This record gives sequence, C-alpha cells and structure tokens, in this order.
Amino acid sequence: MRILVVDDSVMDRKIAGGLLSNHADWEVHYAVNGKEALDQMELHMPDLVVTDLQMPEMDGLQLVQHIRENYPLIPVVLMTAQGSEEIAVQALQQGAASYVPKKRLARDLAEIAERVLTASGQERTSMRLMNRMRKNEIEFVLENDLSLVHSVVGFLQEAVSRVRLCSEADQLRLGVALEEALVNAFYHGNLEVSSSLREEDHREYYELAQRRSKEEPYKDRRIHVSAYISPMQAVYKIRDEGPGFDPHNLPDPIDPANLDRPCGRGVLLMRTFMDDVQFNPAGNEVTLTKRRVDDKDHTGEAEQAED
Amino acid sequence: MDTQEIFEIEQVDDVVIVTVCSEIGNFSCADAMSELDTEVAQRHASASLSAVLVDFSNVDYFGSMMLETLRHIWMTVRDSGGKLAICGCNPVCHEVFELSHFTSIWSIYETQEEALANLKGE
Repeated sequence: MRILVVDDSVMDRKIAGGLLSNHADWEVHYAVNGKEALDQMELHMPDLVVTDLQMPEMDGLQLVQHIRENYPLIPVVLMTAQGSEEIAVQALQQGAASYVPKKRLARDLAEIAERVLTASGQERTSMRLMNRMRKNEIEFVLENDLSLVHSVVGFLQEAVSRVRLCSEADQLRLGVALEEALVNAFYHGNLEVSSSLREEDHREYYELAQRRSKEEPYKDRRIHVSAYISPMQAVYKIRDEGPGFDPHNLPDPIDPANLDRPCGRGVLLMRTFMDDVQFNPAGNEVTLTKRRVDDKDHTGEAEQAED
Repeated sequence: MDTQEIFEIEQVDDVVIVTVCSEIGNFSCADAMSELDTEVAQRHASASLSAVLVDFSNVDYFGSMMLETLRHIWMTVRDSGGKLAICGCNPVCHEVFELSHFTSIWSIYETQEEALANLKGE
C-alpha cells in the first residue's frame, strides 16, 4: 500500500511517516503542501492520503476538495492540531474519511490508517463488482403511505449511484423527477385530490388528502413502482390505481399568467430532469427514462475502480 | 416530522426568515409545509411583513410541493406590498426556481446577509 503524507512541518512529517513505515506492507511518500501532493498523485496514485490542514500554497481543506472531485476513491485522513477544529469539520463535511489529533498520532494514526484502508478496499471491490453489473430490475407495490414512497426515492437514487449512470447533481435531479411522479400518483392519482383545490384553499387540499387516505376506495389503492437499471440507462414506471388524467390539459406552468396558480410544475420538472417522460393512454402510469451521460464528473470513479 | 425540525423561523423587524433545517422531500413534510404557510399568514396578519426570506443552505433538492408552499406564502404577503426572497441555493435548487420561472418574481441571493441588506435597502 502506498501512503502519501502531506505536511509542511519537517518534524510532523517525520513522526507520521515513521509511525506508518512500521507497517511492513506500507510504503510512505511525502509532500510539503497540497499542491506538491497533487503533483505526486499525477505520477503515482496513493492508496491513502494523510494530511495536515494548515499549510502554505494549498491547505488541507483545498486538498480534500480536489481529491474528492478528481480521485473520489482515495481516502484522506486529516491530522488536526489545536486551532484547526473548524477547518477539520469542513474537511470532514467535504468527504475526508477520518481525522487524528496530532498529539495522538503515536497512539491512533496506524490503527486509523489501517481501518480506512480496509474500508476503502471494500468500497473499491464493491465498485469493481458494480462495474460488471449488466442490469438491475426492481419492483415495489406500495400502500399509499408517505414514508414508504419517500424511502423508495432514496433507494432508487442509491441504485443509480451504484452503476454511476450520472453525476451527483444528476442524481439529485433524478430524485426531484421521481418524487414528482410519486406525488402525482399519491395525491392526484390514488387520492384524486385536485390542484384546483390547492388554488382555492391550500390547507383544505392537505386535509382532504388526509381524510381520503382513511376512506374507501382511496385507502386501498397502491402505487406500483418498477425500475430497470443498467449501466446505460434507467427506466422507471410509476403507476397509481386512480382514474388517470390527461397531461395535455395541464396549463402551461411557465406562462407568466400562471405564475400565481398551482399548475403543472411537477410535470415540468419531470420532463426537464429526465431524458424522456411518457404517460400511458389512461394517464395513470408514467415512464421516466434517464440515459447515461459520460462526463468527467462521474467517470473518474469508474476508471479508478477498474484498476 | 415536526415543523420545528424542518423549518426554523425568526423575525428581524418586519422580515420573517425561514431556514429550512433538513432535507425537504415532497413527502416527509407536507404537514410542516402547511403549518409554515399558516404561521407566516398569522405573523403577517398581526403585523404586516415587508418580506419573507427563505434560506435553502441545508437543502440538496426540493420539488413542486415546496414551490407551491412558497407561491402561497408569496401571495399572502404580496397583497400588501410584501416580497418573497430566497437565499443559499445550490445549483440544483437554483435550477428548480429558474425552470419554474419564479426567478422573474422572487429575488435570489447567495447568503442571508446579502438578502437582508438588499431587502432592507429597498
């Protein structure tokens, strides 16, 4: 295993490097700041980066941000000194794997490095496995229950992230589109609560939905969710058991005259954030397709996982 | 989820600041959105608000239900000249506002500080 220790202090570099060199399988390399660390990473990819936070040229936080964006599978462990707690919190939020206070290096550094390397190895293996997945077919039949339908969006986003079909931002957009389709199925499809009621009385809209969720025939209706996910595209079908609607009858949500009306924004978001959106003739099932886009944002992980 | 867990509401003079504290999926907080709408309406009824500022710094994404709640709040305050302003959006949240064309009627700022400075200066 190759470990890159980054610190502008000669003494701290030697201490950290010495502790890590005690491990027979670990080869330790050094850089004096974030910029030099990145130069070295261009030449020889490390398995782990252990970095100080406060350094000239490029500090530890900037280094973490750069590694997260360009080498997302390389874990970073922070060495924190007194006074750097705030920046350490930011670095952890940015994706650093762990931290060790400098005064506890002797006791904790090797153990934490080992733990992080093990976890990173497992993640890399899992990604290699996902690179070999050809398809993933998922099907749910859900009661008209808000907590379940909320969970299914997270599950489907996670399933797409495993095959790295799209960037993180596109996964958020996918989440918006799926939620909109499920909102339609829940409120307008199964509970038959109309947007026009929301225009008249916002609170009554939600109260009617709540009442109907306990009444026949609405309460027994289900939401059917299926997903076909491959490395090239994800196709989702979301069907409710209501009477359906005609999407052509929706008012244009971007017409300035409609800005103060509740109309068609969910379908607009679906159409914008997915590559294709089709309703069945009955209007109670929508098929949403997201296709693979190869860009720098998310192919880096795949390339690293192939190593 | 309780309203307090999702929205933090404070008032600076005649501006109500709503900070969205947690992830705001369309489903997990329909009740909270409705309560937020009512809370703003009550504050506006007791002392006319000049603006409502909604801070999305803690939010990854949201959808049409949040837009709908904001639209309703905006309609409550606009009749007496009040404004709705937004701050702290990530690119996806910003995109949702642009797509829905609400950027033509609501001001979007980077931070609460910038928003408050502009709202008070108007």
